[in-house]
Amino acid sequence: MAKVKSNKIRDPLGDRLLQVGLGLFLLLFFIVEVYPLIYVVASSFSSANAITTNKVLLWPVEFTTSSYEFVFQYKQVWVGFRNSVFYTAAHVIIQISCTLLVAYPLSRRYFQSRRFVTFYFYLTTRFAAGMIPTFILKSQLGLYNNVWAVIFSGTTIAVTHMFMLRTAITSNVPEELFDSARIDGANHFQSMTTIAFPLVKSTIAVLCLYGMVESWNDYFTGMLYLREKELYPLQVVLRPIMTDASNGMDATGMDSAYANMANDAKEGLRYALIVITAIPPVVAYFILQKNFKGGVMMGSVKG
Amino acid sequence: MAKSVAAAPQTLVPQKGWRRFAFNCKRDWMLYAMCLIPVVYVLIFNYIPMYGIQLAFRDYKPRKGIWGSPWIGLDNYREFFAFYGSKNYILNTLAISTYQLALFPLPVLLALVIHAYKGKTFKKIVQNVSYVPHFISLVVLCGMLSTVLSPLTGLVATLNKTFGFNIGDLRSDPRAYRHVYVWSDVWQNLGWNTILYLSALSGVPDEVHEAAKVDGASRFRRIWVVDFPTILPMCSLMLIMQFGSLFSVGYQKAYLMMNAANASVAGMMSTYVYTHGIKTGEMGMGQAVGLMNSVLGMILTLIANGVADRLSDGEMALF
Amino acid sequence: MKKFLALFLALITVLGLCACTGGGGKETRELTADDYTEDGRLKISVGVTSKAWVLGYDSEENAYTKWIEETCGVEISFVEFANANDAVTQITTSVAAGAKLPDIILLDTGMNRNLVTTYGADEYFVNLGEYFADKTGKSKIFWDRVESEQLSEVDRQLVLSTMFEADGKSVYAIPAFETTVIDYVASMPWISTTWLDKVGKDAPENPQELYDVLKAFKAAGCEYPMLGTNNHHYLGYRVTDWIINFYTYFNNKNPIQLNDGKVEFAFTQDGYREGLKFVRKLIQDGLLTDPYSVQVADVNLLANPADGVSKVGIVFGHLTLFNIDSVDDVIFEYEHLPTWGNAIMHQPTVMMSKFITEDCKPGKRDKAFEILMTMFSEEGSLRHRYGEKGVDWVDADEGAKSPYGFEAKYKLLQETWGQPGFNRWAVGGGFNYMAEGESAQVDENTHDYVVKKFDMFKKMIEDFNASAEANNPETILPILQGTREEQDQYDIAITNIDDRWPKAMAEFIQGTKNINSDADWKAYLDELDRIGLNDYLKYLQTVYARTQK
Repeated sequence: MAKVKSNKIRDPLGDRLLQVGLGLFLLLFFIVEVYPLIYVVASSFSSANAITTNKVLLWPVEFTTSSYEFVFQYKQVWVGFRNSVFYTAAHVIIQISCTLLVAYPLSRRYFQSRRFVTFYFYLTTRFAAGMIPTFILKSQLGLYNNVWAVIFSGTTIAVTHMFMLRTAITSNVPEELFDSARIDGANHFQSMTTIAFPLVKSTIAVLCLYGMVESWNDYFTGMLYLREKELYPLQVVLRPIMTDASNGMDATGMDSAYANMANDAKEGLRYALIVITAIPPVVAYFILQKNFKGGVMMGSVKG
Repeated sequence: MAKSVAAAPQTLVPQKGWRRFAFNCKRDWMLYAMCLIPVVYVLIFNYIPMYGIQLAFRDYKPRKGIWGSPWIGLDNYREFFAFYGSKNYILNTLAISTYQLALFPLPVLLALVIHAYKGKTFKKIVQNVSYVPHFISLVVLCGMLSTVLSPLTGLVATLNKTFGFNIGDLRSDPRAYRHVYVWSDVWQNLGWNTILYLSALSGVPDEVHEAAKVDGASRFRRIWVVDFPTILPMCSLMLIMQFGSLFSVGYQKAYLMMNAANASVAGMMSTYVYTHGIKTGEMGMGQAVGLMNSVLGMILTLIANGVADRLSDGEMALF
Repeated sequence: MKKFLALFLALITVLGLCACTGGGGKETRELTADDYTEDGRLKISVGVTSKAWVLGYDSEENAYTKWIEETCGVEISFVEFANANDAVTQITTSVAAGAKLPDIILLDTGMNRNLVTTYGADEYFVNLGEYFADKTGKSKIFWDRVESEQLSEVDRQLVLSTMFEADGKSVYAIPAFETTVIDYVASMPWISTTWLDKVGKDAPENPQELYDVLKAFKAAGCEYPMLGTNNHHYLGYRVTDWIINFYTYFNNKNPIQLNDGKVEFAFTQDGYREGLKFVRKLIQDGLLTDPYSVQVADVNLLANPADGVSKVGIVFGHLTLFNIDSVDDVIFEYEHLPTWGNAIMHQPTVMMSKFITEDCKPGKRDKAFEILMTMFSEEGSLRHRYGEKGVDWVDADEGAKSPYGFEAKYKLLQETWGQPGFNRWAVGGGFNYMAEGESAQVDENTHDYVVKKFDMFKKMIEDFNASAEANNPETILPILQGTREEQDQYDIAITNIDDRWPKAMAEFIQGTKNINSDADWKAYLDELDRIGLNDYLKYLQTVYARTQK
């Protein structure tokens, strides 16, 4: 079938109006999405006085970096940050390895337990024991107050990831490559690492991002299982500061040198903390962004 | 030739039954070995805890363990319904989940818009920016809500002063709670949720679009005739899955957003698990309500799936 | 390969079964060498809450920790709960999983009274009854302070009736207790003299005058004529409680009254309704900012704004909580507003907050109790409140007097209200002295603004006592706590009512339900009846009757 080149004459007014309309809609959407973010960043660089007298709208008012300075001295936050980095990295590595280890066999059509294994994992997404029995079991396995409880959290085996990766392998890696590898004497493990893995790097990058965000943002697992200040992940450290729901906001118990500062800096501080916490996942996204090409990778979900 | 070597054992392959199974296992032992660790992991962490489901029917005394605790049958459920606020909790849960369900078309529409729009750079900027809120954690989001919505010191106050609005306190106003809950969720996830649909849309080969153009279809008509049916299966899938979580909504976010003033509308079944189950040490009760939620969810998924099945002649069902 | 697989699966199944049987064997309850440090001190683990906002806080390096370790001859290791909100969740889940709790648990805001009884009865908390029976021995410090003259009879009854279980002997938690009026007044109103001058009025002495003054403030351009928050449990922020107390006795933490020998709920009384009506009127006329919308941080910021211009007419809160360093601070423009209603102090300031858990080996319990008693002692309380002795405070000079004329007990070397946060645990003291002024030595070295602070509080305490004397009802009921069986029996009614009435109060205050409509009020009362009000009252009556015997 001959391709018809898009012909400018065939561009009716209706189409152009449509584009304008769509463009406006997108602009509106853009503003709504981006404005709160701008406000947060602007406030984090504004003086407390400006914030509480409601002067901040689009840009920092009475520019100051004192909120960030305060955060940098706040040791607990950095302990939490460090912990989160470690937990996230470990979690993602383990998660991706497990995902690949299951996705590869599932992609082999001749694997006879294929359906059984698929169903076996799928069932866990439909039906779960619940938070409490899982907690009891994990405690009895010695994971109570143990960093591995956070690393081996509920999402270590990410079933949807498995299916996505499986589909990616089947659609991106031609069978012939596997066949010729087998002929050359490669076993499955070698096939997986040398043939499949490089060709689905894109998908794996995306799955890494998913896992990373999930782990980085996880509050409840850390709160439930850990009991030591040195072990708490960032989200747990942030909770009393963020939600103002506890007496964490009182000045009683405040270090005298910081009492005054804290009351003023408190406003900007929260915003600074929001910015600092959100940066790692966003940065990770922008790094891995090129893997998000339209349909190539994500079409695999349909599988 | 290597091929013939490989071919030779073929003739000796048992054709059916136990022998064939064993043969295949031997042949693919490495595949089994690869699956082994995740399979064992899931066995330990997902399947074994299921024996704890019976907590819902026992009066759990940690000293006696699960098996030793007295059996009380449906007492936990009786107690749940004897609690005056249970109906309210169920209503709140359903209100929020149906509200969210009703907003289901939003990501679809947005995906269609983005896909139809031609300006490449602008499109890219908008998309990337709209992904950023997705990466914010719930704790941080609730912190943002708490700060930004303050009519005294937040963005709302600034808007009130600069533009003369008179927005009240959306954090504590019970009437505003549902809207804040749902729309903050939209703000956070709308952009990200379009990815799925966009990928399905870009899966359509160009020929189809060209053919439509040749036939004189305007852009708008093309959206209706080509794009829309393409993503319908995806929509169906997502919709069915969302039905399944109708009752368990609110597990984390409601817990974080709950405060004294909005307690009467913020209470949901999943927060009940916390406030009257875990925090009061009554684990059995928490488990009972949790169990009820998942069972109801499963039933709903099956129903939704069945409906989708019927309506589409089997094309758009999950299973 | 198959064999290996089969073996592995079998192993897993066995492991799983083991998990099912409720955990491995317990470690021995006898003391072993591991329980002692090299120099022979016992090792004790203490559960505390992490402290947000406090820089430089380190449990191990804490001056308070070191003092306790020295005084009691122990070595302390810490288990830190995530935050005050989730601490109880962490404890209940630990209990449920059979995980080991620390030897001692210290909670910021205490644990639900019923839960304490339950855990005590189920033997998760050690019954300290026999320690308290030993009045001249092990619990001497406690009894000396509780039975001293510094505590009023009412307060004494409060502590004792809350601490002891229904049988009169068992005790599962040691309370944190404040004798000081300052820290536990339910509502602390301060009126801005600047604004009073601006409108040319005197401080109001009844509801009508209050209304007029606020209206004048507003007309003169005051941004927040009245500001307080209902989002905080204590420390004087609850404006609605103050107003309700014009008409009837109401304590948010223990909303019961004794009327003609019968126990009744404050929130069903007509006076309560009158109070809410007034609150609603103030909100509608723009004179009171919605107290559910205001946060503690907002109060602090607006009462003492960075630009030094007073924006609030009447503010509720603990004003001197922040660093004041000059007599020109905005804070000093405020004056305590005496109330013509009941003067409420929270009960119990007796928070059930210190426990010894069953996981503490029997051989260590005496030591654990000794630690808790040490915290309870006068020096312990002072150290907890003011910081390190010799660095933040010292003993008062011989014969020195406090600004209120009492014998001074301590001299502050630094001037922050409250102590350096990094030098104490989140919850520590036994009970604290009438703070800030009553026992502090003030001499020529004290800065003028500190003296001024003391003066502010002196007036507040005087006003408070005068109001209590003049207005409070004859009998103020302590928290009435039944036995475990009674609790179980009335469980549903108790849960329902405890849950419903604060929500209803919010509904009336925010206008979701109309307090002025008789129909709405009746519907509210009917609903309470329907969900168990009378059962709950029956329960309370029984408990009360028992205390009268």
